[in-house]
Amino acid sequence: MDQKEILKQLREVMATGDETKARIFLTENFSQLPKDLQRKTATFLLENGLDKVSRQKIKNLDEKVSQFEKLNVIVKEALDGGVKEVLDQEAQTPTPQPSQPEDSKAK
Amino acid sequence: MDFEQPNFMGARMKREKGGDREEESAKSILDDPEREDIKLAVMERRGQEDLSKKLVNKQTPDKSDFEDLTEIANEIKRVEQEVKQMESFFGDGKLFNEIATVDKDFGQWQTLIGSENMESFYNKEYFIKLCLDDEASFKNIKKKVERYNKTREKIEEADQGLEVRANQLADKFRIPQDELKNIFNMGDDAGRKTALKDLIKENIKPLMFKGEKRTQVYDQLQRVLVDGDKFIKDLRSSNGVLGGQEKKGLKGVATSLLKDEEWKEASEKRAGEVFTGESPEKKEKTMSFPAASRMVKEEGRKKIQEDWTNFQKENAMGATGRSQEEIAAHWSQLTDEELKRKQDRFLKGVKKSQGGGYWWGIVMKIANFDLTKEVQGS
Repeated sequence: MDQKEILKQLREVMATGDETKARIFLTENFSQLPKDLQRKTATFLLENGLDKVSRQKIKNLDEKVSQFEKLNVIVKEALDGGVKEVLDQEAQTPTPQPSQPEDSKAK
Repeated sequence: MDFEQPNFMGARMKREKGGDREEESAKSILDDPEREDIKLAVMERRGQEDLSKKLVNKQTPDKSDFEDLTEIANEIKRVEQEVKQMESFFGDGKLFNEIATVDKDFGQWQTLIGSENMESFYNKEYFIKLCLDDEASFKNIKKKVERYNKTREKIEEADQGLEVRANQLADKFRIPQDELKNIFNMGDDAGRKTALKDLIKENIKPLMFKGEKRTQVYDQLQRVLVDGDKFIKDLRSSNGVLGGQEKKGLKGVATSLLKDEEWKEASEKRAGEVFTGESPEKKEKTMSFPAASRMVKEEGRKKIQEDWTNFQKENAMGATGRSQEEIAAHWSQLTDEELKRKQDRFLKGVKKSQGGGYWWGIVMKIANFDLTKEVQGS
């Protein structure tokens, strides 16, 4: 099939509006397409592919940041809770030991 | 055009003595066999047969001939740098493989070409031609790879940040890092929180009793947390796309959609058509490009607003038919996650209605570019 015939057939495929047919036609006839069209297709595929791979990476980053945020909240809550419990226990103790070294330092 | 003819270089040297350094440099670039492919492509692109003929035939080339040569040499240097950068992006073939795993159409095409042939298809010759003949696509590809690389670096930074932070916390609590990492890696959040709280309780007492003031210990720990917050904020703000997702509701949808690369490109294309008067209406021919761009963006914003309002109504009212107040209440009660899910579904719908299929895009692009010429020629 010569290139003119390929382009003619491509026009016919376009007229049907069927995307699957267009894809099959292009992949099957890729090597016979004029070099310039091959380049155009290659460029188009690369541009679109890069968009998709970038979006995937951004999604990955978003997940990482969300994971980080979640951990931060957990650490914050655990820290607040832990410290509060220690301080509460300390307050209930009649003679709190930690105040002695602090007081002596202050002097 | 034959650059190897001795007369070509000879003619140049016939210029009066004392050629400056710039000309010498231009000469060395033009004579460099390593740059022969770029030189030929640049000359071809400029339709420069005339220059070579002129120089070969001219006994006394004038100043403008040498200015042309300097210009060509600069163009060769520019293309060389651009192409080298592209080769550094794609040279090892890793990026092609990664694209193929994410994009099934690219993967299919890679299979057709043969993954081992990808680098030889997207080779130096391909990038030279792209750089000279399709500057817009070349710039787009470059911009997209840079964006991809930037995000990849951010991911690495986030991984390292997590590691650093775990180490900081372990250091403050005087506990083995592995123990803290094990807690971080635990599956459920509740378990993680309890284990961490117990660990803090165990370790904070000895710290307080070791003479460190209670407030100091607490401040130090808080500082680690503040660092963590700042780090997260930096990660988010350094990525425009991620930043857009934080905004809620219509504004958020419009912002993220308008920031979307595909939409941006489509909008720029349409603005270009309006600007050059190639739009079907041809009514805004005299409009400046910024004005056309603003107009297209406004069109897009209004369309999104309209679609979003309809989408909200359709999704909230259902078959029962709720009042405006009920709709508003329904949307205000949604959690961030639910809202995000709805926004994603909405965006997917908008994109589908805007763009059509992927391969269809290729066919249309080819058709617009070459079939038109072919039809005209026939």
